Amino acid sequence: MSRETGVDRYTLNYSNIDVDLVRTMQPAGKLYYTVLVILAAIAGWGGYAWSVQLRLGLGVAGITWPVGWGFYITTFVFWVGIAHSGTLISAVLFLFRVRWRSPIYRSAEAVTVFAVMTAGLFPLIHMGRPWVAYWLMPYPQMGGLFPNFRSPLVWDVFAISTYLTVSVLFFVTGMAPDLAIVRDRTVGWRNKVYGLLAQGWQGTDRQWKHYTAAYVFLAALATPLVISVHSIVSWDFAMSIIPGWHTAIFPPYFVAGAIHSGLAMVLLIVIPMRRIFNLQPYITGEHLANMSKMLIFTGLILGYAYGIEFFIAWYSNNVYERSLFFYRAFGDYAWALWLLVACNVLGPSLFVFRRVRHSIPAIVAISVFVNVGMFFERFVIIVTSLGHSFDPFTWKVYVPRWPEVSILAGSFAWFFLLFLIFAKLFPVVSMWEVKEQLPLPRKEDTHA
Amino acid sequence: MSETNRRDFVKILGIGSAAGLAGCTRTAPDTLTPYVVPPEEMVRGHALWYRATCRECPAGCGIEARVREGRVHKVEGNPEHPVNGGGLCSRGQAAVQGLYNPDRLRTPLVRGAGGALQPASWQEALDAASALLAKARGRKDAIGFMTGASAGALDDLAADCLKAWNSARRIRYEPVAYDSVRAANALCFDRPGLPVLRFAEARAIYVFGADPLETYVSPAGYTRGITEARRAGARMVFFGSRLSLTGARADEWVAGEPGRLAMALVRELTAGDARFAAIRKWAEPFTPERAGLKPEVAQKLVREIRANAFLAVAGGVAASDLADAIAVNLLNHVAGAINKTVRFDRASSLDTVSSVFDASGLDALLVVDANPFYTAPPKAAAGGPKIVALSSYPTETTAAADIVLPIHTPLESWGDYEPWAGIHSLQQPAMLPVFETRDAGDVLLKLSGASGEYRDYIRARWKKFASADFESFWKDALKRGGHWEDAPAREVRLTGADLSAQLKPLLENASGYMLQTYASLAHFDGRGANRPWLQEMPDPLTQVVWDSWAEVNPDDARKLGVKTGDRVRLRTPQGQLQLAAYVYPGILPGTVAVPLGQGHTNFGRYANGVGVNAAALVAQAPDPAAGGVRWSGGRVEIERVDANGGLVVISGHDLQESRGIARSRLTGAGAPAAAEKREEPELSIYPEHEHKPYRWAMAIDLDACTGCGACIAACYAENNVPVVGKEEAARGREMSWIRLERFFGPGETVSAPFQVDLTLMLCQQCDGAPCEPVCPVFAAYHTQEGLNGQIYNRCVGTRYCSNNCPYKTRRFNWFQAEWAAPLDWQLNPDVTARTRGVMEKCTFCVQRIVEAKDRARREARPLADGDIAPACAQSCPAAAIVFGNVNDPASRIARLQANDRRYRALEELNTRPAVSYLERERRI
Repeated sequence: MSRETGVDRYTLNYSNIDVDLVRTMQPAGKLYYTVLVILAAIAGWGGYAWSVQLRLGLGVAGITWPVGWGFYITTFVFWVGIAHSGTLISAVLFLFRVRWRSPIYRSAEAVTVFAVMTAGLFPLIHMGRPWVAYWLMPYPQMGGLFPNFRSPLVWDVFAISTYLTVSVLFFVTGMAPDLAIVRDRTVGWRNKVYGLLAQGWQGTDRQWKHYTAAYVFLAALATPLVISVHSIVSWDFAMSIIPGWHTAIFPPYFVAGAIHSGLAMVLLIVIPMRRIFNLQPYITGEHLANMSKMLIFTGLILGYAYGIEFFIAWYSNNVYERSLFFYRAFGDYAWALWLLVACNVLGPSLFVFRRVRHSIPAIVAISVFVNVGMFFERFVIIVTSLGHSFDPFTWKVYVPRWPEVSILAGSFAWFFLLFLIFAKLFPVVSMWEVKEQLPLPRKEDTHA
Repeated sequence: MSETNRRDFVKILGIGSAAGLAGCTRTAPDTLTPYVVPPEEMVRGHALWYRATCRECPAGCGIEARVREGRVHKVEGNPEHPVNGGGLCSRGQAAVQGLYNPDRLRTPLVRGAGGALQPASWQEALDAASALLAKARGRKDAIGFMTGASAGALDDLAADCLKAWNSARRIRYEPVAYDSVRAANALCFDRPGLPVLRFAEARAIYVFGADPLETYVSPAGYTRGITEARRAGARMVFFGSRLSLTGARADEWVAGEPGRLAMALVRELTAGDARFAAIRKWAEPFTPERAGLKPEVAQKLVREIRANAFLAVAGGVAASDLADAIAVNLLNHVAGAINKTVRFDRASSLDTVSSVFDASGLDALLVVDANPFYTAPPKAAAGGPKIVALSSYPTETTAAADIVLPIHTPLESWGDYEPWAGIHSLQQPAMLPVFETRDAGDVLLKLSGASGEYRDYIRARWKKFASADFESFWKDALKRGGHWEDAPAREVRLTGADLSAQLKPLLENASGYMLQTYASLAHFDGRGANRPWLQEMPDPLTQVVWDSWAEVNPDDARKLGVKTGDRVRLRTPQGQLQLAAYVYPGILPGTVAVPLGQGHTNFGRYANGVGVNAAALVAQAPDPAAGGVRWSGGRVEIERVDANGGLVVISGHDLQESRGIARSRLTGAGAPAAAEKREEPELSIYPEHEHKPYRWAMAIDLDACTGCGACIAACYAENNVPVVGKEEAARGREMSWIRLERFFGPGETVSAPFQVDLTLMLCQQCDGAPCEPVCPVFAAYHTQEGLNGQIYNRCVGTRYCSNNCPYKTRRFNWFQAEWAAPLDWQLNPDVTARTRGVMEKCTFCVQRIVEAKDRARREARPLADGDIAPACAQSCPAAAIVFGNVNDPASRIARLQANDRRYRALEELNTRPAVSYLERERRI
């Protein structure tokens, strides 16, 4: 605690901010490159696994009849969920004028963009014929064939691509003033690249006037997406007739789950980052504690959803639902169900204790649990429902095989790799928004 | 060429276009159509049908081979044939995989100086064989001639050959020879043969250990008869220690020793009846209690026997003791079935076979299309006779042979067969030989020193059947598939000999485990094991694929500490085997059952090393009583080895869990009233589909369905369904479009009386299909005629349709399907072969629908009911599957949909399937 409070005494002002935050972009050390190479190797291994699957067929994976969706779709939903924190923090909390969002939202947005980029790979990886994936897009062609707009998978295509577009726009727009600072401090080709990305930012009053208006506008545009994207992803399941999938609670349940895992992932990224870059004055324990509080909230929603699922299964007196939920609780994957309940509900609820939410190791541990739990939540939903549906003759236990595990590991490596590159090329904390919250600098302060 | 008949056509195939044809059919073609100048009768895209005789087992069913562009694609039953009348079992369907088997012998083999079989030219091999025979001919009876069951021209030719070779050692070897039944008939009725069983006329069918619905003598024909009887209200009771598929289809299972149970019924039936005083005396010790028969059950059965036309059928391999067969004969006698439903009008081709053979004192043994060394290994290879094997495949026998001559498969050869006296069934080549093989008859003619062709030999032999002009008779016979003569009724009487001594073994109680081997539904006595379809089709009761297993009662399993899939060791004085255990409530404690037919060592890639050969556990010597191999009844020791049985069981769960998927109802006196049917309104927020002018639908009568799996094999053949092998099947990736689902019951537990429920599951072609809306690219869509279309080349492979299918009848191509050449020649040109990454499923054989519509249009007539039969419906020996247009209220399907036994699977999901089921009846 003493270290935390000590750090808090560090006075932030405009010039410190510029210096501190541009410093993060200095040439990296050995450790950085070591980690980069390791991550690239793991991602490459995942890529190799995918290439084997492309060459030989999906049969090399463990997915099978009747469990047609397994690790790949689980991982897809997981990454889409991770992507939710960014927009929530940057757009929703912006509209609600929540002040503590300022130092974290840049990282959160980066998490969003990279998570969507990771998630977007998985529908391709899981498809039988990924080389014709473009058939899911409505494009004019002579045959007059269009996608089937009744299929939730087509909605998915739109939801995810819209989300990616808006997130990228938001991300790039929000960075413009900061990139201008970086531009002004670099020379040569870097200067040109940052100049291009800064979109000619001069910091004039007129620009600021338009900029803040546009920012509010983009935030308003992005806010419904927080709700819609994961609602639509949940419809992939809820629109089917499979027991355990076909339920009205799925959209809010999935959105809460997505935010849950997204916040945990942001915490997991921000904590080491602020340590490495010495950003404790910017991202304080209070910020982390605030996010932890949100995890209590989303965790409780999930706990409620889990409970309601079981209750409805019992209350409906539907033989298929009852059998499925009994299977989830006591069947082949019961360990996964109890694991996810512990990780997603019980773990975060420890944050009600002030000491827990101010303990960095506790936050890290619980965030890891939440991510593990959220992965298994999707896994249990997908796999048990498919493996234990209407016709008992078709019941089957799904076990992933090496390509699925490799690609899952590769996706994590790929995500962190992207973030690592981002952290060295872009300011990870929004300079202009942090400055906005400081008192205007006065002349005597400049030499303090 | 104005009048081209089949014979001429074959001649053209054989001679006329020899140069052009030979080059094209014997190697993989570069062009889609293998003819530059096609024979006149051949129209591209138009199928030709050739009638022939199935030789996959001794039953001798009539078949039709469907030929497209000079190649056989599919075999179906001959509807005019008296044996099977249109249906064909799975083994018959798989004949095409024998024809195109990639492991077929392609050149003659001669054992060289080094002791190994080496490829030789036909001339060299024939010379070597002739030299061998010439040497052996010097001594009388030094040459043996072995075939399987044979009656017809080949039998005559064998006699001619043996005459030329100065020998009388004719051997007709069938591992499954029903010796006990024939011996019992000889003792009881002085008729050493198999009876003609008229199932269709019986109303109380009692089966004692036999499997007439699986492999027993003539399963396709018996299935037809039993179905006919059931439709007329017959009740079937199964007596035995293991619930076979036949037993599972019976209305009641009376568990126990079949012979004892039969004698107990004889005892009850003859009580106080002066006519049967002698029999009553023999039966006196067989009290119902002793047989394990409850007195009230015995009384009920006696009443039933007295009130109905009765037929009892005795054991095949599963109950192979003489005493069992005698007991059943006595039962048939006292019940008045002899000369009525059990007749001896026709002799069977199996009457002359034996399950043991004696090769002692032979210098040379000629084995034609038989595989004796699979079941009965050669004793002393060094001292035995030189063996000349005529075979289409490498077998355990060819491995031991000195000269191997590759012969045509039945679909390529001329021949005839007389399964029952007077039923002369013809065989004709349906296509040019696939390999450089020869007709067995031609080879034998040559070896016997005779001239001419085997076809002419057959024709000469057939001259005697023709009443007038032979050519037109012959043409007609080829067209019909044979020539059938009526058989005069021949009555038999009980000889009156004292049989009490023969019945005595039934009173003995043995300790320890009893071994029961049985001919497997898929591979019979082993000859079907190299057909990949038959390996991949799950056994209906155990749902095991690509393996052998030992069935153990759950109580015994507990005692032995064995679970399904554990490896156990079986030991008899004859040998020991290690195989996987299958814990099966349908077998009595103290009995262990193993199917025959697997564990080959030299039968090609699909059979070698798959499972174990149960024949090794059984003495291949004549049983003193019956005179044949005693396949069942011996003692066996069983112990657990480890958990690595490697068993692949396709069924995911054994119980229905109140889902009502395979339904049955109790009927008859004392049955509870059927539950009131609740018709739920069919609601949809979408506008209803308009199905014009047809709405195709199917009804599956579960009361008729026997679970034989003929439909599954037919579907594999018709729809180019690939085979994936054991490893992938273990992962749930078998591709079959139609599957037989087996559930244990009754109800939610396995309890007494143990019952097995079977149903067929195929795409239900739902009106409110869950698969259709979820497909992002319209690969799954609804056709005008109510089919759930699946456009393979539009499919992107999201597998959402399969996920959302409550019946899970869709199959995904996890890999690129492969057919080992020349198995790919079997592919149906009317059906697309699917690429990897796409979903496929049952199409209701849409290609047949299109073809029938085209034909009707050409003939300027409306489509009639029954014009279209999907492959599954066509093949069904029980005619359990009916297909048609429900928009036509007069159609059979529309009438069946109004049947009060009709239900639809998972109806409450509002999928509104086009496939209806008719509940099975369990008659009490």
